[in-house]
Amino acid sequence: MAISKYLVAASATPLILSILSECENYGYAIIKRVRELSNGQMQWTDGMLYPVLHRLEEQKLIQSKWRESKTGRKRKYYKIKKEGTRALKEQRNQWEVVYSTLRQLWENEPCLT
Amino acid sequence: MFDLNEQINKWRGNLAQSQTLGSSDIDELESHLREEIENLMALKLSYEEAFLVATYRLGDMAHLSDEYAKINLCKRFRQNVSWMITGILTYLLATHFATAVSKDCVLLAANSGITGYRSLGFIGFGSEILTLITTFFLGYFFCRLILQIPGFKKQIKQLTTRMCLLMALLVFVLMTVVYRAAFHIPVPGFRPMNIQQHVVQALTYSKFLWSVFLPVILVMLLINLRKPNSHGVKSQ
Repeated sequence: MAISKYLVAASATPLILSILSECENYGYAIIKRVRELSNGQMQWTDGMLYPVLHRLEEQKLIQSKWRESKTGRKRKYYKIKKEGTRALKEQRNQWEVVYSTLRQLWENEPCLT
Repeated sequence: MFDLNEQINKWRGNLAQSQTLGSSDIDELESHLREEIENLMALKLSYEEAFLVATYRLGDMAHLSDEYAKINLCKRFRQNVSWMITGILTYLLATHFATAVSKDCVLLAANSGITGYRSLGFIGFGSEILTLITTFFLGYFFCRLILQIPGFKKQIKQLTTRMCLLMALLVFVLMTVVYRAAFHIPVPGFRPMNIQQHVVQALTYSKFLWSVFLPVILVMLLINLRKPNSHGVKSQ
């Protein structure tokens, strides 16, 4: 089952912010993590992650820094900022409302009459 | 024989052509690409296969450059406009400061009863040096600000831009020389001017100077604004 592209686009920001709230990370690892967590059902076009990251950076929710990894490869690491943590909290509340609304509807017995 | 680095360079070149991705953006995508290739090769894919799969996974180039354009062009436009405003403000500050200092010096001298040409010239000389120092520092900072505009360094390497700047500088120097000469050389047939007339003359000349210099700077900025640059916005 592939998730629709609209849902993928809408969930990109909370996903990225949540992953970055765990620890600072770089693009490739973020994509890998989303793939693992969703058992491969959430497939991003890899390149599309970066414009989203840059937009979040422009909105001052995250910040980035080029750094060399232990293997010697240069990577751009992203880190969540205070403002980003606040935005994530807000997004989380919104998603929880959507989720609980759907959950309640789906748990009800279907009306047969 | 498949040369991975050559292929990656070609791929970089194609991305740079879109002009919406900065070199830092391309570096980041390359880092991603290399990581993906490495992982795919661990699955026993050849260099060529890994490169093809990894570039495919990164997505369609046209779509990618569209997405980057949404962020970079908007960001660049805002940056350019903000630098332009900074420039205009610097200009206003410089002229007002220079005018105020020279005017005050001359009027102060007149009020203190110093009316002789030589002593006035001495005081005028002090204010000139002050004006020069102010202009120099403001000019220096303005140049530093201008150089921070993405693409301006590349722009400045072009002959037309250099000519424009050189012309502006020549006009500036020439006008200063003409003004100084007109101020100090007594022209036969002209009535000697009093202090107020000197101030008015100085103001007229300095206004004319800036009315030439400012448009040149603004035109340069506009040229820079119009041309898309491939080495886009630096991310912090």
